[in-house]
Amino acid sequence: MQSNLSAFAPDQALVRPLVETNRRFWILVAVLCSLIAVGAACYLLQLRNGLQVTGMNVPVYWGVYITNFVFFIGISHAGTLISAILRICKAEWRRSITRAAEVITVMVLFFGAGSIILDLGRPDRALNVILHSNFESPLLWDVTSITVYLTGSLIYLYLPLIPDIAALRDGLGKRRWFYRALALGWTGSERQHRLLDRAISIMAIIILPIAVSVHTVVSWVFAMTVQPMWHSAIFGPYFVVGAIFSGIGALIVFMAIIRWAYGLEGYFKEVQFRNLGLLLLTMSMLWFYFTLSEFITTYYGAEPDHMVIFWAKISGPYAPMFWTMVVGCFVIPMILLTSRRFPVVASTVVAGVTVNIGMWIERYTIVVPSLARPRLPLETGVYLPSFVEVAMTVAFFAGFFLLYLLFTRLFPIVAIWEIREGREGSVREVSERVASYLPEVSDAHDAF
Amino acid sequence: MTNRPLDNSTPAARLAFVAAFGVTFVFGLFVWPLFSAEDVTQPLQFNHLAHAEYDIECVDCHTRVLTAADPGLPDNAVCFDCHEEAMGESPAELALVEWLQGEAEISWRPLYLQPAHVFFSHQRHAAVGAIECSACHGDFGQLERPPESAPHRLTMDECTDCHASTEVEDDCTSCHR
Amino acid sequence: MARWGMAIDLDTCTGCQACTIACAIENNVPPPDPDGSDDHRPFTWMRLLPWIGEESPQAEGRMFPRPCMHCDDPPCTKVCPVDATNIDGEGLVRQVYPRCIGCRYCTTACPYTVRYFNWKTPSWPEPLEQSLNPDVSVRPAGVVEKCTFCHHRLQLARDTAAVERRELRDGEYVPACVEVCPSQAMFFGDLDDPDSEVARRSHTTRAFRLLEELGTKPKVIYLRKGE
Repeated sequence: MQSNLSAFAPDQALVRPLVETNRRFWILVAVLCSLIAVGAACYLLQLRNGLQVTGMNVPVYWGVYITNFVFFIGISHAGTLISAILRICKAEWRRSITRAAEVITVMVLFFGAGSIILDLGRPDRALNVILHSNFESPLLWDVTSITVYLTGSLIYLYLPLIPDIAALRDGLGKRRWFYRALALGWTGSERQHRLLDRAISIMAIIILPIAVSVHTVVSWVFAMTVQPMWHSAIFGPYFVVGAIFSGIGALIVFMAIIRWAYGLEGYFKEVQFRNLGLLLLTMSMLWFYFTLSEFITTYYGAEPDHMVIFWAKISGPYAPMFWTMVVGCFVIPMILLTSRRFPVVASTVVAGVTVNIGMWIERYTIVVPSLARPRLPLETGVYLPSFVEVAMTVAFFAGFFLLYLLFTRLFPIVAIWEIREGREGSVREVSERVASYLPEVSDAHDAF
Repeated sequence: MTNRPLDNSTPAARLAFVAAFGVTFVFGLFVWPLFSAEDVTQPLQFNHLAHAEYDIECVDCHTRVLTAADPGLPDNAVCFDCHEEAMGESPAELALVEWLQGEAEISWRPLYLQPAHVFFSHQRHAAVGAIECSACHGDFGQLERPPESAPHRLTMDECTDCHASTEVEDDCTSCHR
Repeated sequence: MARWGMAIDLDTCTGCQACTIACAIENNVPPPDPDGSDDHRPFTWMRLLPWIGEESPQAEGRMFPRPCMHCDDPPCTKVCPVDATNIDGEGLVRQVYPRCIGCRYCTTACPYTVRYFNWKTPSWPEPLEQSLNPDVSVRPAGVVEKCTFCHHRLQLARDTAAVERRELRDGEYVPACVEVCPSQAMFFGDLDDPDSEVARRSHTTRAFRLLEELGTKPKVIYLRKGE
């Protein structure tokens, strides 16, 4: 298929995925769809037979589903939060990566919220959450906060898309009705640009506290109970840090995949990977600090009920997972990201992967051990995820990748107009800005 | 700047949509329930009105209403007390007398069935609360023939309204237990 | 208004588990699968909690019959997103099965782990399914359930008293476990009524509560071994 993409010059590479598909794409879609189909079959099985098809039991009432919920909501902090911070700070290297980040947020939130529905014993009654809300329940704070976050992130993703959609409407020649409806009559007038800039900056500021609230509230689901090693005041910030941490890791991985698949080396350069790698390193140290604080206070306080779980994690049945987490979240990023010996892109991607594996394990070792060792020692929990739980987890990841993939086929994954704006205006703007930071030359002379 | 309308649907298309919506709505609300409720036929054509005219109270035949949570329907013995022999000439009564000659209980089919998750005590409502039977069962006593479906279908809203207005217990667990 | 509570004398309890069985029969709690396929899943609302002291050379073993504690300040009711569990004016912690969405937040929030989840539709081997208690519903799959202190018995006792136009008497409402206890180790009644058996027993020096330090104010009082 050959299309005339000259309207998008010199950024044709960004639009090419919208018009050209190759065999690799269809194979990937087929693989993802079949994984999703397996998950759908498993869900039907679960609907028919109830949660007995999972590995959950007495007293391990929560398992992989809740782990996935916390993990996916954590990943969602990749996008909106990072993009908003970079936008507010006017970090110019952000221009090519903000959209890739924002899409992660929106797409993964569906699966985060979906994990909760998946975990319900009676999903047919899910609407009771609205009909009979009990606002005393942290779970309801979650519902509220995630709904607001999803709405906000959608708007925040959509606003910067509008000029690009309008460009596609005018220049792509495909799916014109679709882009026309979504472009909301964008003509690119100065007034429209002014309004859009304002709307984006307002949303960037609004989205920050919402994002922080989301993972704080997720942590409070655990911290508000009196259960040992859940009931911790540090959990709010600990979870937010972990969320941003895993989010950055996920963003690095997605950038690397996009760059490889669509040949966007010119847009996702080493500098973006290096900067994100430094951010990841910072978060890794913060994460280690929080983890250390959490465990050392537990150890020193030495409450028996807490210590049972403490030792189960440090040297008991959860020790292999626990130490894998420490290696994945701290040791490997420290080695890879502090040294210049390793190639930038490869090392940040590897760190991004190990961080995400480690962070999934972190959520698992928070959810399960506390439940498996109840205060009254009648039962010691034994939990092993069933095939259904594993298949659903795989299907959720596949669904997330598929939605992301489809997005990159419908919209440019790098904001064309922001790149153009950067080329045209920001070089001058930045040099003026930097100059304004410095003392003026004539004043300096007068002082003598 | 020109504003394009977001949708370019014609009035005819809109009308078709509204009409389809309306038809589905009316069908779902009024027509579908007619098919989904099964008609109940009783083994004998019991005449409530004929009994009421002799000043027989509901509880005279439905004897366990004041003492049991689920009173069930009257057994043969209750009918037998008066109808050992025919008192009149109606075909319904003759059929009853003939039935009573045999051993088998009359298989009255209940019209009012509670969902499994609801607990309702007749004793509590009829004896403690002194509520008239007709408040929930409608004008059953005025019927000459057994109806094929309950004359009055009770909803949870009616339960909660009455519980609220009479200021009795309105915990969920008084009925859902 | 009454404040219902239970006292369990560990000195007279023989650990015979009659309470466990009586509770399961009274409240339609299904037995475990005979083939053991639902390992770690079966439950009863009343369970015997074994406790072995650390003191050697004579390590002392004890059994705690453990129903729902019906805490005065229950950690489970706060966390329910749909208000399917709450505490009534008489201190009974209730569970509303038709509203429960099965999120299992209450089961994880309960420090006594006395809330249970229906992993599947309950079933009974023949002919036990014909002997279900009609006063208690059979809970569907996917909802949480727990000990109710047999509150259907309270309703029945109260109805009977109302029909007979009198007040409820002490001992007229007791849960199935208390009624059946062969060694009479369990007492039930109004904790606020100073004349009730349970109030007298729970004010002795032998009385203690499980996990008292959490401030949940349980209304199940244990009486430790006498002098």
